[in-house]
Amino acid sequence: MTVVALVALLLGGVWVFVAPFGIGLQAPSSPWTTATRNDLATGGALIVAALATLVAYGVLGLREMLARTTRGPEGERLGTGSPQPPADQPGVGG
Amino acid sequence: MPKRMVTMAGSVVAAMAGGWLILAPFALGYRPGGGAWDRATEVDVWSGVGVVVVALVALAATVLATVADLRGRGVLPARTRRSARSEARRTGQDQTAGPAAGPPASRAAGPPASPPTGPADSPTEAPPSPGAAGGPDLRELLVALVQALLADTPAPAGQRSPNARPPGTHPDGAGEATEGAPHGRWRQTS
Repeated sequence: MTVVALVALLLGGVWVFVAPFGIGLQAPSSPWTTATRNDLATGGALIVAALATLVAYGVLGLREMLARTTRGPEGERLGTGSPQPPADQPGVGG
Repeated sequence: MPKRMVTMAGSVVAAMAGGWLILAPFALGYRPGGGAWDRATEVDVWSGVGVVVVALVALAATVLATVADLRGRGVLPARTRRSARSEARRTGQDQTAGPAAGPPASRAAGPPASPPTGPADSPTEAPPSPGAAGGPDLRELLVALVQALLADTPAPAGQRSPNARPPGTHPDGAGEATEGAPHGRWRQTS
């Protein structure tokens, strides 16, 4: 879900970046308008943010996976399990 | 967890960029004269709306996953009051939809002023069980607290009621072995 959303944001950034030229809002020979410059800046920022988030997400996920693998099954249980009281816990006041 | 923090930060940045895309045509004055939207304004506004929606969905999904993870680790309480209430409502529906669902129809055919005949009339007339009362543990805790207070309160000499019991005994007939363990769920099992 997260990766899909980040990829969608990346594609949105690419769309915003190329839209002035793809739709024909910006004539190739004329100087760039304010809208074109704004779209390039915003689209570029979106692309950078989405790419950086995707890369960080992948790297951190890989690190977590490696740490879980090297820790073994006990570490995995400690990392994901919820605290459970022992079954033979003495009663209140007993 | 750092993975989710990075995702949340990226989603917030993307949402802000989308918001700027929506506002930019009006803030930067794309439209000469402020008339109908031109093509650049439409493209920017609708692209910004899409970016904001996707970013907010990603942010909400990340926040929900983080909350569920924290609940699983015991950092946050396991359930909110709202979820407990909805579960209690569901439990109540299960109880009324069970084998006791028939009697209300036959009771509706009787005289309307007749009072209920007691607990044996229908299981649906019984007081709500602790699991369906919205505060399942609170009721048990209060019962235990009242019983402990009654057991520890010394009665004045000569004013003991005939139903008074010696301290340390349980009202249901159990003796010292069940002192401090008023509910079966808390009794020592070993």
